[in-house]
Amino acid sequence: MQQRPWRQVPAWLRWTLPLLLLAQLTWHGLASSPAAGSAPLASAPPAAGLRAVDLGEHTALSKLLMLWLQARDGNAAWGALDYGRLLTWLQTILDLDPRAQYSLMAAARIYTFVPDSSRQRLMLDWIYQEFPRDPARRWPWMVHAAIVAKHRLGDLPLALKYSQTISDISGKWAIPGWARQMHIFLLQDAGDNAGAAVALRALLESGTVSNPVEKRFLEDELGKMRERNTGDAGS
Amino acid sequence: MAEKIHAIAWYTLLENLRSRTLYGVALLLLLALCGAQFLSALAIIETREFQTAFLGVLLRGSAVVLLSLAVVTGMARELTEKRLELVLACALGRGHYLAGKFLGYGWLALLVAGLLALPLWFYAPSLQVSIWLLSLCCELLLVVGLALVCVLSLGHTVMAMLAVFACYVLARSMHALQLLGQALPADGDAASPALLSSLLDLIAFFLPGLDYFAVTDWLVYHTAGAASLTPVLLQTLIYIPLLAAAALFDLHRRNF
Repeated sequence: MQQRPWRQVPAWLRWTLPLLLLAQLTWHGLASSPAAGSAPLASAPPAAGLRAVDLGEHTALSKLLMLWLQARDGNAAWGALDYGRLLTWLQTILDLDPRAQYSLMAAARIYTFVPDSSRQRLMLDWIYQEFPRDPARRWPWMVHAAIVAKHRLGDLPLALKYSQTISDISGKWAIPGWARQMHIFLLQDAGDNAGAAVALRALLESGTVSNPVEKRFLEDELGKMRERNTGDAGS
Repeated sequence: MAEKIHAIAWYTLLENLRSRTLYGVALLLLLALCGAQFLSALAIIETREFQTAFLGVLLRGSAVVLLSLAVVTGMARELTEKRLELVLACALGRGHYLAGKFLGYGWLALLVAGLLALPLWFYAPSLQVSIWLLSLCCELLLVVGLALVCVLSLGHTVMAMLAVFACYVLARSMHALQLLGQALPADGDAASPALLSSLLDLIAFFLPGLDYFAVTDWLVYHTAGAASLTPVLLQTLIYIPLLAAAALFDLHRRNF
């Protein structure tokens, strides 16, 4: 397609166009940049509603929502976040894509950094509720929840409850031995040597520990526990 | 007659290639790859999954928009410039003309699908991408058929585009809408939720089950197998002849 030379354009237009462009650039430069998290977080719509409008792209929508949530609260102090509403978003995101790990990871590793034990417990409790629905994929976050409960909250009974859940549910799922044995060592930490010995013996008798090195280590530990129990009973 | 059909198909493809469609595809690929890199910088874990899901959705959506635009604008031009009448003045049946057009746009659909799927080979296993690509080709062929029906029956670019997108969105969302319809609470006036649910079920009978096609989970979680293609191929085999028959029906009724 042949074009006429630019000199053919009327002179007023040759000047007006760059001026208008300059006006747009000035306007944009003066306008404030968008701020994430400026408005309070609203409750999430139910996953069923979002499924109706995402054209079948539940996985992609879940991932985009997670990034939006992450970017949204990235600039805001977590202390100012409404954790009840945050939880509705995490739940919706997980419901849209139940195989994804991101929302559980965010609950376990990001949102528990808030210096408020009630909010931390809200996140841990959500992980505890969601864990049995897919233990094979979600066990790392349950383990992390137990660690947070013990070390950050200082709530050993809660950590024991979480680790016990992993141990109880692990028989049917491919969960590593160290995660399954976690509650035994937490029982020891809680001073319940007798309980720890019973749990360890049950584990060894269940036949789920197949690695000979691991088995020998656990048998040694059981021996030490029994010695300690005998010593405690003697004193 | 096969030669004439192939000639129409070839010139349809050539017209689209010369209207810089491939530049558009290249631009889309570039934008998609930049977007995927941007997402990888944002995600803390599951980076590959985020990138793959984004690419899958964006590339499929782009392919659908590009193909519908190509078919609707191309055919609308054919109608307004009286090229269709010129072709039909030759010793050529309306069915052959339509077959040639469908074949030409079908080749374009396969070419666009193949090019747009290129980056996915780096993000997902080959088998999964192959199944996804085959499914995308079937989906795009359905879109071509749908666009031909809409433009031949409505004859107007804007209306035809709206009809194509409305049908596509409805077909993609129908499964979720049906589930929502079933979950409607039964109030005192119990007839309306049941009626709405039945209406949705009725509409679903007439639409292609596009929710089986090019599922992003195949690319992200590698869940596709040979069985995933069965409903896709069956639906394509049933719906494309239906669309072709509808377009032909309309073309035969058209008075020039």
